[in-house]
Amino acid sequence: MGKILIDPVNRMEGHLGIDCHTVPAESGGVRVNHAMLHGQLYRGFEQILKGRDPRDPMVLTQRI
Amino acid sequence: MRSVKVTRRQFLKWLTASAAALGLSQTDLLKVEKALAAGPTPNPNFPIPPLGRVIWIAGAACSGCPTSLLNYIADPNDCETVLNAIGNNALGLWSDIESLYPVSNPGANFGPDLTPLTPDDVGDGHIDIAEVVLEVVTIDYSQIIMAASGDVPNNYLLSLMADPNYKYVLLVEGTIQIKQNGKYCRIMDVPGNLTLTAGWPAAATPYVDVYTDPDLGTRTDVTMAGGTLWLAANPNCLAVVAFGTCATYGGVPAAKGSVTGGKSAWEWINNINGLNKLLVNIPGCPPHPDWFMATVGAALLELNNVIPGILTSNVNTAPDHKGRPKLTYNGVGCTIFHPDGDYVFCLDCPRRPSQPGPASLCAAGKSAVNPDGLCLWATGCMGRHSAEANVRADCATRMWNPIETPGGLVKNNWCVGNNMPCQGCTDPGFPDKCSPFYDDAKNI
Repeated sequence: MGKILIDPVNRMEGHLGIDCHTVPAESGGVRVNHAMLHGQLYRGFEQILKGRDPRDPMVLTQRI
Repeated sequence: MRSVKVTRRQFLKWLTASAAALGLSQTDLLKVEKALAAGPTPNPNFPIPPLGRVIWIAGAACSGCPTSLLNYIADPNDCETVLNAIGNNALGLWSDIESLYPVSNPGANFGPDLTPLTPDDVGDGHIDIAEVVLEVVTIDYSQIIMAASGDVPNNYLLSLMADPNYKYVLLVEGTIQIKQNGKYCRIMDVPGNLTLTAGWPAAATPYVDVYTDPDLGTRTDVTMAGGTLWLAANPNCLAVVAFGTCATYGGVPAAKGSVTGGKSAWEWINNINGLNKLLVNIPGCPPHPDWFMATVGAALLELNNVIPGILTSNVNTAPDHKGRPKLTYNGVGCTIFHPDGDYVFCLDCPRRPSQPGPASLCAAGKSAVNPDGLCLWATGCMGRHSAEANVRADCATRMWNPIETPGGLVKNNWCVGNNMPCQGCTDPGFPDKCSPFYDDAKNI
């Protein structure tokens, strides 16, 4: 059982990491049998929008 | 006969877009980028090497800023927009830059002898600030630009940081979130124990996570707060550029109600941690690419002693009390530097002659009677409000998203021109100070 970690994943909006668990494959290489993506940015737009004037989200959520 | 000019940027852009068709792998692309990143040959007659190297990190951001910057179109036929960035004497200044950093393939009328540019030369499109900047500045690390992912760029960054001769400018994009030890934004996971490296700032230790994995060994999980300190505290970091309103003043991720403890680059680096770094703010949500390009151009002129003080001591161009270069945030354009010293956003607005218009965007719109439309003050335009305060951007004359036509670039539009009240996005108080949006601005 091995592991591959790719962090950061580039050329995309936001921050992302990839965790892969590998097992030996019949062909002699390795095979990924379990992969996890982790989003690594939380800005809390939900909390920021709470209690605001209803016209504000038109401007703020453009920035997501 | 005129040679066809392909810049490094155009070449790389084309290559990236065609990568799949050409069967290029990420590694191949990285090799090409590395070869291109070797940069220009410094002018042997010039004593100081090019400004060079940039490390670009992003925190809580939406990637709108790099998108705006990469959208930059240098105007080959009308150099006015670029020239305005530097001011009245711009033609001479850009010819200075051009001769300091000769571009790879000058056109027919601009020979290898690097004779000074004349207005006739400009018509042939030889001034291309995008090319000058990309030929001169090398972006060594940027998550949005790099083709490779994972440990390839991480190890490259570590090797750069281990080099005592590597001098760089740190470009920060996005808010720096410091609550929960910065874990709201993690930017990279690098091999080894980073806290044991030379020059590691102790203040950054709580903001990284050192762990040992049975398969991967010891690694360091770096947050934006820790990574910013790590990269800024190094004495080889010559300056910090905060790019976009999030990095300059906190912006949307630090707005009222936020739980993540967002800080601006100045607040985190210089105020909370007292590093006293030279820091330039380029606010805007997003900033206009010209504002960035002009600041880089000014930095080159400063560092090469062409115009000493243009970005540090000249009262008309150096950063103001909010860290913004007056060069671009004091209303450069048709009205350079108003006599009272403060640029008033509304003075360039075509809707200004009218009294505050009706409180309805439809009624204030463009019509046969009012071809420019009526003043949007009553629908929440931040222009007048911010005239006393802090907007001072030159959108009204510079305009956004130029359109490429056979006859050259055509200035396109801006928010107010498009019947959209100014939101005050370059204001230090954005967005809370400008909220509620679309409400009568006298109530805000």
